[in-house]
Amino acid sequence: MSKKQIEGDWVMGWPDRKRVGLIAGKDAEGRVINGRSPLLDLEGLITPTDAYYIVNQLEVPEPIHPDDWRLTIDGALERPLQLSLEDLRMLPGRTVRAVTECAGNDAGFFDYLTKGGNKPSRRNQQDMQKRAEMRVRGSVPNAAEVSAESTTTCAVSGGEFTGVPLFEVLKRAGLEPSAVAIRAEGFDTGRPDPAVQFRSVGTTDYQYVDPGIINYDKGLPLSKALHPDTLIAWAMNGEYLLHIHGGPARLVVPGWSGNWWVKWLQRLEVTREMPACYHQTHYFVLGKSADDPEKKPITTMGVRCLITAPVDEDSPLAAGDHVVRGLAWSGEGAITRVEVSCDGGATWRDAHIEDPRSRWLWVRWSSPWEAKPGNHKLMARATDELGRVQPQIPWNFQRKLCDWIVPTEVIVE
Amino acid sequence: MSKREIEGDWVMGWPDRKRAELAAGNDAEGRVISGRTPILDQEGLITPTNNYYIVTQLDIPDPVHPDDWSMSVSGEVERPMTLNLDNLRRLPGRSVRAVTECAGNDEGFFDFEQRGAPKPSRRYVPDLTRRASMKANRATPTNDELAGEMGNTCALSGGEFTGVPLAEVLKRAGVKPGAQWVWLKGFDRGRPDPAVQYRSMGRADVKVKDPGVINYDKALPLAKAMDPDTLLAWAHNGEWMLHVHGAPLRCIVPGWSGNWWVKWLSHIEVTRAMPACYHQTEYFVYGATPDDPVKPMLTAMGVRCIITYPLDEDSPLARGPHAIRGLAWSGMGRIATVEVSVDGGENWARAHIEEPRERWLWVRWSYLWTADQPGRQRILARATDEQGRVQPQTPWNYQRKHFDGIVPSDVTVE
Repeated sequence: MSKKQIEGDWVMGWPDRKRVGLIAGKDAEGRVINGRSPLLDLEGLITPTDAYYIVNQLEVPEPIHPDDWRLTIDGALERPLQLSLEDLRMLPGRTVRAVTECAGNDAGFFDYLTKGGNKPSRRNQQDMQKRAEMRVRGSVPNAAEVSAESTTTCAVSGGEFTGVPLFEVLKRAGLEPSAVAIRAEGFDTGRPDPAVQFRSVGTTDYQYVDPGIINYDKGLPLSKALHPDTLIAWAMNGEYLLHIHGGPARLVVPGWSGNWWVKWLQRLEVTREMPACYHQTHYFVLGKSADDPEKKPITTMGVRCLITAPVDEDSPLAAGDHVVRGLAWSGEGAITRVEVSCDGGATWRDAHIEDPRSRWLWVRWSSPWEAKPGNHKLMARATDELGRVQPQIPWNFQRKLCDWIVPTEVIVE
Repeated sequence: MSKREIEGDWVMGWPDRKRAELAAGNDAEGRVISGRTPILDQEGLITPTNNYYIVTQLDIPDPVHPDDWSMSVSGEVERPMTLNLDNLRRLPGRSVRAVTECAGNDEGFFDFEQRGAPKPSRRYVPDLTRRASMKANRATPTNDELAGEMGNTCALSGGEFTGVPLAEVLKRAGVKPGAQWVWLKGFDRGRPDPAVQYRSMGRADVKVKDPGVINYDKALPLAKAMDPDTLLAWAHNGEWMLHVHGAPLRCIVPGWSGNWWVKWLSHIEVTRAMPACYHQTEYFVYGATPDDPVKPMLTAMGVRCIITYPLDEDSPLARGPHAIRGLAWSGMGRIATVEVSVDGGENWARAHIEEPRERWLWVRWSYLWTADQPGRQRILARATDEQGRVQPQTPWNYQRKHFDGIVPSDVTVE
């Protein structure tokens, strides 16, 4: 190298850039139990598997050997089934690329944009090790910790998933006409950590409902379960699904937030009414308050658009030519338009959307900007193929699915 | 785990499957200089970056820091320019998913199919560390080593590449009328190893031209250079391009074999006449014999279809249902159909092609077969692309490039 060594990693024996890795938290045995994606430092569409975010409501279970694993399909069916991985692999498969996003990603921006206060940083990197240790100890965060917590632009990743459409399995089992939902159950168990909900609502003054030890489950409405892109997946980014990501098989529910993507699948129960799964009646619900009688399970994500460059921390910028860059995606389909404003929302112009524009994966977009000295507020908003413009999701007490327009504020010298 | 521990890796602190790995060759300093992809053990479409195959004709250069790197665009253009990585990233970008395949991948099957040679194994991977040491010593391979040297079904990978179309750069530079070629030059240098060509030909008794120490270069016909999917890429599979894969910038030429995907780019020169690039006139050429007066350069790949299950090595198979599985791709566009024969080619049936069906990336396909006849069975698969091209497209050639024949799986059912 000419001027200076690359301050990075040795990759395959060669000096190279620093490769971005997962921001991870480990339990006392050194096992990763949570992780955040360094999204702003990645370049491209797919998030490498080793940098894919990891969020679990219950405990990461002991692995099951893929040869020993079986998936039970029962309930309102003509032919209940029990399938091995090899049985699943005999069915007509499919690959889907999609954004996986934690429902609580960017939650802190709800409060910032309604109440002001400290602006969460897109570069906020939570101390995931501390979080893991608190979880293992079962400690409850104090008020300061709860208000300082913001999962910002790091509980989201883009992946390629290979498996079989859930409907292919249901077709073979024969749905009864009375079926309304598929209760997908994982073999992970545990008692939901109250700290997770305190962080989500932003206060420890919250009536946590304790269900005791449960298996993780979600009741997927039939219409979404029958969508051909809803998969039972055993591979991710070109290799067999890792245990930490839900191997031997997990659900892939494109457009719906990560809590729907049930990991470590063991049972699909077809139900005649919507099941009262803890993680869709007590947590992962939309409502104005905990007492809101209209509370309902969160489903489809809104329309998302984030500016990855510049971010506030890039200030001060040199005057001259810059490019405003970012990612956009939607819970309902392909992005058709991204608009950028470099004057705080007074005027907007269309950004260039890079091909390919996949239905469920994000698009990269860019817009040139000639920066003049002063303070600038850069904004970007996306529109999807259904004509939905951000924001779509109202403020809600669990602060889920935030899809609001977050300005980048920079100083140009 | 219930019955037994998974005999594999510890991944993020958890016992897990064995993760498939690159078969790599290291030089004396422990640096990887070649690699083969365990494609038969991967599952999905994209090949993880750490497992992406590595073939390099010359020597892997010392890395250039991305901040120090720039590339010149010169020759038959209105506005010659020098671009750094930041300049390139300001242009309207694009991502492309494509199969990268070495021109010599599966070459050993040419001799099996057309010259009655023993059938090579799809699982054959050469000893790349030995190869690396031979390269360092410029050793000539023995006749034994020449038989199936590239390795089978392992010098190919599928990737996602992010960058800017080469056309966007050429448009800004302004290609002058009459220009026909876009000459891509890397900053990797070296003296071509004659052993590479001996292995390609399967013989060491042909004189190989020695050009001395050269930079790697290729000259792309203008039409392919202007294709919007031909990229100058700085990212691969969602992260910045690794040095070993050609960083800071490499060319992506979907549908054309890997030798076109010039790594470590440093110059682009637009020309009227085809420059006499060594790796386009002496190597990576078609021709019936080494003396053939007409040796056209290799360009688009043929139509490819491989059976990944069952392989010969999976014998004996239990009687009953099996999913015959594989991958198919083409150098000229999407795969339209894949047909499977389980009776040695007498009858053919359509296989299921899995979505998505992309233009440049392979498709996964499967065919449900009930193996009810004990004994030897010959399974074949063939693909057709959207241009109507059926395999095989590429005739035998003395450098044994672009093999796209139909290779049977020969299995025994119990």
